[in-house]
Formats: sequence, C-alpha cells, structure tokens
Amino acid sequence: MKCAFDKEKLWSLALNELSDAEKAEVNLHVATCSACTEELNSIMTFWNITTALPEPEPSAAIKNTFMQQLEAYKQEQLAKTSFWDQIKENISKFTALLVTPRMAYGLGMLVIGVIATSLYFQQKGNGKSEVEMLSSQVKEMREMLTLTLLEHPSASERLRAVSYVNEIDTVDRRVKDALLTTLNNDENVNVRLTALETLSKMTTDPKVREGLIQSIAQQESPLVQSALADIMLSMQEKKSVRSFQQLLKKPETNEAIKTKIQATIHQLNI
Amino acid sequence: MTNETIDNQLMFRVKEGNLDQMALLFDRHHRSLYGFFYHQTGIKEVSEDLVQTVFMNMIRSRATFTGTFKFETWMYTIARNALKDYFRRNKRTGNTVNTEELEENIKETTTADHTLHRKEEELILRKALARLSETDRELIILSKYREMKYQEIAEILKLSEGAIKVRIHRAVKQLREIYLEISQQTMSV
Repeated sequence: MKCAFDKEKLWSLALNELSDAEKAEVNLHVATCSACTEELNSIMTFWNITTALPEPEPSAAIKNTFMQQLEAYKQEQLAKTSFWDQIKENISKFTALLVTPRMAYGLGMLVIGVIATSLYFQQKGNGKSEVEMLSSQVKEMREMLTLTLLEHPSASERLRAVSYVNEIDTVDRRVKDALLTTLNNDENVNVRLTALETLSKMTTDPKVREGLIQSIAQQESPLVQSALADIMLSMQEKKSVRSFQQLLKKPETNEAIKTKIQATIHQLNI
Repeated sequence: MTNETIDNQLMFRVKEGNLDQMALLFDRHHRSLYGFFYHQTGIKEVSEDLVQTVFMNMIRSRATFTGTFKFETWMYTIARNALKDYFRRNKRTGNTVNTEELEENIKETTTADHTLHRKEEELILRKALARLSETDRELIILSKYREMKYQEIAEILKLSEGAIKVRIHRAVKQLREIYLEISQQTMSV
C-alpha cells in the first residue's frame, strides 16, 4: 500500500531542518511504515556518502603569494598619495565638514557657473563692459548661493539664504520658485515668514501673486496666515478670497485668525 | 568574543586603513574559500587565483563593508562575483567543473585497497556535483560543505529563506538522481 506521508519531511530530517518535536513525529511514523523506512535509509545512505567529500587543501605557497600582492597594493597606494591626492583629500575633508551632498552639488554648480560665465564673456569680449560682466557674475553667484543655502539643514543658514535675495536686483525665476517652495514647505516658521516678506516685494510678478494665493490654504501657522492676509489686503487681491474661505472651513484654524480672515475677506469684497 | 565579532572587527580595521589585518582574515578564511572554488571549478590553480582575487577585491572595496551582515556573508558575495567573472571569461556554461583534473587528483592519492571504495564514491559524487547546474551546485556547497545556515545563504543570494530551502531540497534530490545514475553506469562497465 502506498504511504501518504509527506516525503519532503524525510529529506528535512536528513538535512537537519526539523525541530525536536518534528523529528519525533517523523521517527514515530517511520517506525511503523516500511515504505518510509526504506526511503529514509536510501536518503541517509546517500547523505552519508556526500559527507565524505574531503576538503581540498591549497598549496603552501598561497599565503606568500597573497602577502606579495598585499605589499604591492600598499606600495601602489603609497605612490598614489601624491601632492594632488593630498589636496583632493583636504578638499573632501573640508567639504564633508561644511556641506551636505546637496550643498556640495550646489557649490559645484556655482563654481561651474562662474567659470562658464567668465568664459562666455571672455569670448564675447566686445559686448558688455567689465563692470556689467562682474555685476552679472556676482548676481549669478548670489542666486546660486541662495539656492544652495535654502537646502541647508540649519534654519539660520536658510534664513541667510532668504536675506541674500534682497541683495539681488532682478531675481531669477528659479529663486522665486525656490522661495515659494520654502514658504510652503520649510519646517521653521521664521524661515517661512522671511520668505513671505521677501516674496511680498515681488508681487508685480503674476506668478509670485498666484503662488502666494495658492500658499494660503497650505499654511498652518497663524503667524504666516496673518501675514498672508495683510499682504493680500495690501495687494487688493480679490482672487485670494476663495483660498481664505477654504482656510475658514478648516477646524484647526485659530479662532483669532478666523476673525482676521473674515475681516480681510470683507474688505476685499468691498 | 565570537568568530563573527572577531572577523567584523578585523575587517573594520582594514576599512580604517590597517591593511595588514587582512592577512589575519586570510589565515582564517582562505581554506574555506579555496574549497568553495575547488568544488566548483575542479582546478587547483584557478581556485588559488580566485582566493587571491577575493581577498584583493575585499581590500579594494573595503569602504563598502558596513558590518550589517556577517563578514563571511560579505566575503562569499564577493567570491560568487569572482566565480561568475571567471566562468564568463572562460565562456564555460553548464558543466563547469573540470572532472578530468579531479579524477587525476583522486587517482594520485589512492594507494591502499581499503580506500578504493571510498575514492570511487568520492569520484562519482564529484562527477554528480559537476553535472548539476551552477546554481544547484553552489547551494549544496554553501549549505553542506561550508555549513552555512539557510538564512546566511539567503542573504548572499538575495533570496528568501523559504526559497533557499525549496531550492536546496530540489538540488539535493537532483544530486542523488545523478549520483545513482553514474553509479549504475560505473557498475555495468
């Protein structure tokens, strides 16, 4: 009669995969089943043969060969540690101390930007005056520095980044977008407020106005909500009414702010 | 201190730049690695070269050692890559083991009559191992001859422990089938 016992368990027994309880269960069955006894014996005979495979021994010279290779590698490394490697190492240590990978990228881009700009103007030669060239380079540097510092983990550095924008005459689209992102996403309320203050000076740009309106519903801090209400009122931006109404519907909006928003909506609707 | 901790500490020292510590790791692991390669290639010189390659590769990529897994797990991951490279360079697929050299080595060491039977078994077993697929052979070598736990093999092969168990069962059964087949052929000659 054919036995219905799971034969995989016989293999598991040979491969030492079973717990004591499982082993006992298999042994109990095998003791009463001749078919499984035969199968287990066959498996174990084979398994014992596989155990007998001797471990090969490497030659005695293997260690010496390795030591020679190791020594050669060490010499090679020593030779590589030249003047330039030292400089590279110092730079990498310095940047590792000062910057995050994103900052490193930003600074790298800044250097490339400055070099590219100088090359461009060197080639053009006759276009702008030297003063214009320099001013353009400074502007580019400030913008890059702003974009880089806005990603810095320290809030004070991000505040510094926002303050740099005030020193730029014509602010680039990328910087404006970065400021709007900061306004909407920065974890620090002071950074968000400073970004808002800076953006409030750029409201002649329709995209900035639109960005500020969209930001209203995203703000959770009463301070930023209040500042946005003041700005919208000074701009007489009627399009912001809808966003303020959304804010009013939110149960978590501060009661004092709700009163201010209602007053702002009223004044905008006049 | 466990062997794992000692290995990891030595490797961390290598990572910090103390390359001489690799000589200690070499002493502790080169035999095991040599066996791993010899069972898979059947060629002494190649196996020794591969051992050297693995230790030098570990030095070169010491920065990638994190200690998340056992040192041995990391070492065998590098060993597998070295072996794959070797097979690729030599464009050998399927039956990758040099059974001729294995046969020669066994004949050389067979002196007394009482060892003849065991040597025959060994030869058949090596031939059977050689006829397995690279993957099945590797699984048997790691679990049976390197005595690795399924979990460790799973980490090296980047598979689940359950998948390793299923594959090992399949590989062992396949090995027995081939072993019995070769035995019968040998007996009928």
